[in-house]
Amino acid sequence: VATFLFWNIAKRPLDQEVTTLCDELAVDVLAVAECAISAAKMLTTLNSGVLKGFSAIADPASGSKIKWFTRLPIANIERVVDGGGLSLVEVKLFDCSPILVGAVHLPSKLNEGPLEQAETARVTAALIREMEIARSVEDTLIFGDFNMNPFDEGMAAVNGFNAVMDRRIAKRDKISYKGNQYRCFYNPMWSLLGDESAGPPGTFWFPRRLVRYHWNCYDQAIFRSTLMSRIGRSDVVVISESNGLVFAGSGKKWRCPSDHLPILVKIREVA
Amino acid sequence: MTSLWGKLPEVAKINTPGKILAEQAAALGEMSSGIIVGEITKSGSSRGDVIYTELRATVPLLNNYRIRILRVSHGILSYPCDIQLLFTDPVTYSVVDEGQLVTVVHQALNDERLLLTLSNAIAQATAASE
Repeated sequence: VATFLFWNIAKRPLDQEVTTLCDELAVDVLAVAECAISAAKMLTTLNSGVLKGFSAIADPASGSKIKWFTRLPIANIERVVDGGGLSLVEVKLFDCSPILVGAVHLPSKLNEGPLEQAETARVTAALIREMEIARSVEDTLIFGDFNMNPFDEGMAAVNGFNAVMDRRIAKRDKISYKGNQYRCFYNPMWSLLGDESAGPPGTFWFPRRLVRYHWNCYDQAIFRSTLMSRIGRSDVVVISESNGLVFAGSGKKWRCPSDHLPILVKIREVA
Repeated sequence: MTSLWGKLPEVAKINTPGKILAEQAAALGEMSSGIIVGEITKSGSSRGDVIYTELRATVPLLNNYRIRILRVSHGILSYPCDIQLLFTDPVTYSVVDEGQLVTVVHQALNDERLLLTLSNAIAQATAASE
């Protein structure tokens, strides 16, 4: 199993908390958004933890919104594209064919309305598809802070992320619309919404505005149908506690050191 | 049928040059807090009779800047082997056993110019990541 963790740490000095999470969850690849901590400082703290052996992933486009760290051999990970809130890497796992893993930090609802967010999603999804074709890779995982809920236009539109709630639909791999075929993603976050789900009702608590969901699921993981056999139903998890601290209780009891909860994805070896 | 083969020496007891260099690669990562990554690359001669193992230092935060340190070559037997220094003056040493290999590698990894270069790489990577 290879374990991927994403956390938007809200520009706070959470290197120790990140390290504790990595140790607890045996993280192999870490993607951090809104990381004001230098990569060197983060590495020093990560490598003072239990796991050790972390290195950074080269960042030719300095100024990327995502900082990557890994315990995998660095020769197994290559940056593919960086920009516009998407950081895409190609990862070789378990001597299998490579997969693409993208971490996103897309514009906030405070800065973009639904139309702009949908357009950002369309451009980002098109870039991901372009890279899949250029690299001849079909297995793609995208995770991170989309700043959208699973039901927002940018997530659901066929020319956006086209991220569907049902594995049976996702299994078709492509969805046609007005004569065009669009590759879809499976979005397991639909099943993690609300208080009947195994974890917290969402990843981001925002009980303001006239229309309010209280809980939002801005941090999501979506993946192609070709990865469905390797990412099981319990392999995408919203992390709700660490080091004995429950991040998100009911109501206002938000004790997460960031304003976003971390999310974890496990990818298994090909059976 | 009774096996006519002799007893194989214990595999775990053979400390191959590749294993020794891999340990030094890991030690480099540890002493630099992961800012420099020790990498091992393996290759073979075109005729397939020589195995090459190279130790490199890579600095991911400096766009994967690489420093080639040394290369060991040997046949199917791990020893004797040749050690080619790649960073310091290009010298090749021939050694007959593990003890001699460790002595030469120790010398190479204590080269002042190499250590100064690694130290500068850490400083530059740290500054670049601020």
